[in-house]
Amino acid sequence: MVRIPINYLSILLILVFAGCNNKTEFFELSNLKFEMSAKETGNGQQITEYVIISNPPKNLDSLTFLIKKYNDTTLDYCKTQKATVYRRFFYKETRYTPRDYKEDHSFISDIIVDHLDDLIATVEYDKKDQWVFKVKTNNNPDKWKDVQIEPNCE
Amino acid sequence: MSGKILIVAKTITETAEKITLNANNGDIVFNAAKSVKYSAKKDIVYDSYVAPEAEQTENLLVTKVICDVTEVEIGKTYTFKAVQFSRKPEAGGKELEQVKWAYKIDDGDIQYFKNKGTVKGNTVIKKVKIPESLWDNKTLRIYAYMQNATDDVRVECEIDTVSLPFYIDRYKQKGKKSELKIADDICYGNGVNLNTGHSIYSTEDVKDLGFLFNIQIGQSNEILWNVFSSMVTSVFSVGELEKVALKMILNFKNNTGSEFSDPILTEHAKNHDSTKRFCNSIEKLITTKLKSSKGNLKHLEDETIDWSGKPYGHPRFNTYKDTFAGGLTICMNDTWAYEILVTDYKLSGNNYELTYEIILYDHFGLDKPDMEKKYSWGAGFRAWFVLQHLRNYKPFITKVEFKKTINGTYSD
Repeated sequence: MVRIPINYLSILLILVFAGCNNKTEFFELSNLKFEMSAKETGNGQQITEYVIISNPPKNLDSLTFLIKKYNDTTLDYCKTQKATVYRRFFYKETRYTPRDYKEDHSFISDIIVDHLDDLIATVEYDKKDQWVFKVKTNNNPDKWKDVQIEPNCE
Repeated sequence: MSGKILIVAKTITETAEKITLNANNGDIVFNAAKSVKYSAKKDIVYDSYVAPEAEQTENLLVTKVICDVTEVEIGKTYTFKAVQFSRKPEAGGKELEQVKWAYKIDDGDIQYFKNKGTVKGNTVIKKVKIPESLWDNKTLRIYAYMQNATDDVRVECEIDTVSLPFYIDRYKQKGKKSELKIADDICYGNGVNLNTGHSIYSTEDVKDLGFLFNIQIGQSNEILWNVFSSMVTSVFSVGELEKVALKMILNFKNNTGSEFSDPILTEHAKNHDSTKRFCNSIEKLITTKLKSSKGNLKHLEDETIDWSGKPYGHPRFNTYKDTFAGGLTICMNDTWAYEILVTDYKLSGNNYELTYEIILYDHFGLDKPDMEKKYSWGAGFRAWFVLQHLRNYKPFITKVEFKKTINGTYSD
């Protein structure tokens, strides 16, 4: 029988588990954040944010819960209501949309909207003063689940 | 009128500024055991009987209906009031509870509301929610009545609907980087940075982009045009798009800054995978909204200019094939702005046929960020940049415009 020293075994286990880190994390792409004043748009303020989610859970309820929790802690719903259009797009982390994704505007360019397949959730404050939160079901672009957001802004 | 009043007293004196005694259907008899005396400071007038107003026994009629607005929106609730009647309604509101309500859509028949209104004092109030089904109608008339609904007693409202064509999505504005500023790549000048308007780069600014620019700065316009054209034809375009690219260069050379369209370019852009995907997203948006609103076009209308873009992005023509084996990239690398309008809509039962128009805009021009990428390594791009920003040649807007028709049903 081959005897593996306990220290080597520990290192091996650490390496194995380190490679299987399934923690879901959110990475805001601050370099892509878009903000335009009402004066510049000629209408109302417009804000768009992009977030990459690493290891998004496959279970739709879990994914919805995590995104909602992230939004609840990072979005001031009531304050944001002053913006005419507010959007936040969530993309899953892939080799094409890494957590440090940067747009490439060179001749053969690559911009975030090219990766519609990796878009998994959107939060939008529309002109009807409503928050609309949608999560893509099983990555099927035809099916989106609507999640209710009712901020208490009293 | 019925009843009797008998007053018996030793002495009765009535004093008032004015006293009128009416006998509607008989005599007034004065009997005195002694004499009947009349005295007046002026005249005593005989034979001047005028029948007093009849007692209010005729049927009550509604004579006026009002509403606070003249235009109603689908899905909203409005208050209509019956405020004037042929006589004073009986106190207590019992009589006014009999007021009925009806409506008429456009030139259709009068239809009747099942429920009556509520009485508040001498007013009857009817709340009406404008249903989605009226989205393609023009007028709504509301009647209040006791016996028959008549056109004499009604209020008419315009129904707020959309008229074709209308926008459903707008992304940025052609030629502008915001409501206030011209896009840099549509600017041009003669090497003077005016910090305003269309002249934004000085000769020094251009030199700072790289030492290779010194070559083009020293060249004549004729050489610059040749260098630019030969780059486009030898590297970035083939076949029918090469002809389009040359037409675009000619449009640039003509220096009018006029918008450019070409049917071949339109056909290539329309049939590109990126455009097809974009159209799919638009069509999904349309069908979803029409289904949820039972075909109400108003739900599609969106005039707002979106400066950051929707998640489905916009058509882009930048694949290797577009760049080196076609010509779309040099003609129209990306979409700077777009407009989508609904131009036609036909309903047949629950089925609809909708035609929408897509207008894509791009700028045939360069700015500093373009040069700071890899463009500046190409002599043709440097020639283009020098012609535009140092030799005053006007860049222009490229326009691709086409229509698509979709069919669908808005209820299951």
